[in-house]
Amino acid sequence: MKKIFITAFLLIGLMFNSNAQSFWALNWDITKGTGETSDFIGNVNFRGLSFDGRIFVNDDISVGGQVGWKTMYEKLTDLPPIEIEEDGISGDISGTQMHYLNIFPALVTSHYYFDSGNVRPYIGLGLGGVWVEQRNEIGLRSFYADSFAFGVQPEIGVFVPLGLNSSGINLAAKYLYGTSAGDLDSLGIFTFSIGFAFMN
Amino acid sequence: MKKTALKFVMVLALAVVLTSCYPGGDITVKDLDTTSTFYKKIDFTTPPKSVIIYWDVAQLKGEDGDDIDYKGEIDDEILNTTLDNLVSLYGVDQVYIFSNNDQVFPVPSNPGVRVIKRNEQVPPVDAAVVPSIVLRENTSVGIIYPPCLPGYWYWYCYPPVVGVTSYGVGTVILTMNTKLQSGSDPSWTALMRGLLSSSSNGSRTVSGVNKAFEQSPYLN
Repeated sequence: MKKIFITAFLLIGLMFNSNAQSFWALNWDITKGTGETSDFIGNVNFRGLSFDGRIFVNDDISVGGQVGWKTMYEKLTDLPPIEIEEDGISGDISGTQMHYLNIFPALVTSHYYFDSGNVRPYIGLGLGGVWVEQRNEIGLRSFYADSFAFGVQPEIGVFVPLGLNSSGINLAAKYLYGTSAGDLDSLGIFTFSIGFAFMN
Repeated sequence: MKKTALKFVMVLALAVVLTSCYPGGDITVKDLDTTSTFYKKIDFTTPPKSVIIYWDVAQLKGEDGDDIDYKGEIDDEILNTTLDNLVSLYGVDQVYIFSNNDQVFPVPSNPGVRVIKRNEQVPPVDAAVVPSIVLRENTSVGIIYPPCLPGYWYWYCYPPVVGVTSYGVGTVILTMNTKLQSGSDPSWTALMRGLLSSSSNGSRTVSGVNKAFEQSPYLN
């Protein structure tokens, strides 16, 4: 995982110093968990950001990196009690549960762009690491777990230029999968991104 | 144009970031209520068949005079909701009330339950339940000694060992000591946190006590 991060940072660094055609986007991410993630937080969440940087190796293909931060939250009532066992004492705790997920993906990406004039639809794939922080708060108690997992993220999107300059709107749909790691189950997040982008 | 757009994006991003991490503006005081129950499995290998409840709510106070003002506002809900659950578990003939006062107050919700006064012989029951309430934040009360329960168990005179160390103010505690009790800690402890923190204390108390019994199916 450490190598993945170093590679990602090197790529981003190269992009900043490159004169090649590039693409930059800052996105607002709207997320919805799937699978085991949905069991923990099932609603749609609107707190997320991601930053995309890409450099074109030819007219149709780019390589780059993506980092992001997605916060998911849901308040849940009427859940079964949480069972605990310690030193021969068994226990159950019930009450309103506040479920939180903070997800930080750092991915190396590659995208293919379809030739359709100024509007550039694309498909892409990201590979890298995902740090996940999970917290379940009940009353004043908190159950915390975190993990660093391998992540893969297929993506489809489109860059829509605004006016004559190089800026535009980036729209994308992504599915981030993180492997099970540590005490946490596998991660499944569907994300819809809308952001400002610059392509030159 | 490009710079203006970039500034706008950065401000938007900062706004999102600052409200992220741990959102939760919809959390109310009631959402912080919890019901926790703890039990020793070995003490319930043979569940009790009869029980007596101490008809008073022991007030757990600190020593510095910094306790909250409490005049028994939710004693009725604590005692009668507990009584209702005990009757439901063991039957009206196997539940007894121990009253240290001649005047039984609050009035028991179930008139069929036999009341034992302090000068009467306590029947040979399998368990005793004692309610209490924490009136001091971060109290460190070790042992509470309610008046003796005259019975044939020696510990009736030294009952409910309530080992309070650090519970929030307003926490209601129910303890059950059984005949099979191992060690000095109660066989069953229920903690209903935060019940003295808003105007809806009564309904929240009923809900919390009911929840404690609901999540403790091993009691009978």
